[in-house]
Amino acid sequence: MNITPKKAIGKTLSYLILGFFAVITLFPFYWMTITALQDSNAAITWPPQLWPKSLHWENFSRLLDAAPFGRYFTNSVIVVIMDLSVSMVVMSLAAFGFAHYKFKGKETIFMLFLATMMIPSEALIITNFRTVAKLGWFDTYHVLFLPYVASVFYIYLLRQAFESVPKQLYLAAKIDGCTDFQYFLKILVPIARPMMITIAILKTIASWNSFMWPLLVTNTNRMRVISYGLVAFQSEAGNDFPLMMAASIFTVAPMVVLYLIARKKIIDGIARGGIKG
Amino acid sequence: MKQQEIRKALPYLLPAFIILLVFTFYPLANAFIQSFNRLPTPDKYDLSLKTYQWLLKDVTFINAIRNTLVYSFVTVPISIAISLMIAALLTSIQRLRVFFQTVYFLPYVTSAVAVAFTWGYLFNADYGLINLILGHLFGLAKIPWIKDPQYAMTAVMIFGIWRSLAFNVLILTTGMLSIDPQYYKAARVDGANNATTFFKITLPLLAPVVSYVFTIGLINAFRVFTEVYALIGSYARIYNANTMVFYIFDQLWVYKDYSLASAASVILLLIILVLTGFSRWLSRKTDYNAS
Repeated sequence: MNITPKKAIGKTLSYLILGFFAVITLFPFYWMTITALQDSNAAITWPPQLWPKSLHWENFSRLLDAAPFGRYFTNSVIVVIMDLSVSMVVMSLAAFGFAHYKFKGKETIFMLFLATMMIPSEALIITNFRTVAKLGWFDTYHVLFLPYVASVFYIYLLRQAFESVPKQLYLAAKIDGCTDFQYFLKILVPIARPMMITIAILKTIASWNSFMWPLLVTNTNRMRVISYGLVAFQSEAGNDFPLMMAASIFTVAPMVVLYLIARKKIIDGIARGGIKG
Repeated sequence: MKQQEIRKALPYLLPAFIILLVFTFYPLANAFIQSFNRLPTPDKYDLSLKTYQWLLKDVTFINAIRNTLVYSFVTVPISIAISLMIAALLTSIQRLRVFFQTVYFLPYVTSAVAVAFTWGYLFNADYGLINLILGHLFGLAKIPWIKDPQYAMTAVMIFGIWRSLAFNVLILTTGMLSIDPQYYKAARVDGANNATTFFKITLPLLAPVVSYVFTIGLINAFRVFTEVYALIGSYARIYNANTMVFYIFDQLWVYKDYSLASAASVILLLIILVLTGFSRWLSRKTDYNAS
């Protein structure tokens, strides 16, 4: 291997450009973090300081005194858990129904399902807003996730996962006296577990970060999820940037942790959806 | 036999059917009907084309469409151009590739609202870092990015590009890494340089993936809302940062005019259907394997 100077320069340049964009990507998160620890007055002085003169950890306790972020956080956690437990059941049952049984018009119905992926959810929100108002569902936990539990794309992925299991397994299970439901629960679900975990993680991220729907269907402080709580807090806190950033960290941190733990699953899941369309 | 199977399948399908019926198919049909209602709420119906006439005469809506078009056709090409460069550099290195990939994808998983607030602080006219940097580099006076009709949309676009890089870089890098290395070996034998290889081999083979991220990018850009709401605020209209979904939201939330909101959403839906059809056509046209 002989490395020519030209090649070495090219390599260095590549790393420099990649490093530059890495800094651009990470900088807002750095800024969020150090501002959260900044003195409230220092945050509104010119010029801004790249590193705080002293670290103010008490900003976090000040934040919890100023607004019920503990409550918002808990609400978000509850909604994610409820969302996952309902949607994983609804979606995997539907996927099994499509994967396992043969009936007239099945593929037509499935295509109709898939076609709904093209509909922007904003077009549906108007009627859904009225529907949940009529049902008296405002300010409940279930209103926050129920309209979105049957995600068609994930049903499609699960159907594929179930269909890739050889039919012999079903016949063997039948001989052992399994019902169809037992076959689904005890054989198919464990086999499709990696796919189900990926879907559950992606659904968690979407659920945690959802914003417009919670904004429309919750009014009381008590029922706010964290993204809405954050926006509501902005109008109260105004220019207290350290508190705003501390609140932002509460919102961002759980997903960053999840991302660092399940990075490969998340990236593979998105890339798969991306390539398949 | 077949009759029996649908009976067996139904219990499994029913929960998803009900949810989709109530929260997808019914509201879809209803949006069309409501959009033809001359009266603002579904309490009474008087079907006519009036809503669309009003909508297309509404300066706010026309402005929202214009902003959405500018946002889409500025952010998407710029984001894809940057992403292509990053993806090409990422595939050319081995060491630290996973590290860089991890970093670039981070904005995708983090709340748009929370990150928008940080950008709002960075963009702040009086205390923001961006004005400090611009002042040092170019001697520019402080720019009121967020609270000025002249700059608000630019700020949203910069934030939008930053946020959309994550997805584009991931998909383009995955696409580039799946190109058969044989092509590159052959090119090297022929003495092609890096630029020639990129434009003559990588780009043509990647065309279906590029057209895919382009379409997804446009669809998402046409739906831009959270970025505007969190960065500019609920009065984005005043700062000329109104977008189509923002208009729908305002009609629904502030004015309670379900008919205008529905008509605007039908127009958005039609645009997205056209874009999806266009992407189908484009990916068929650019797919080397298919021809």
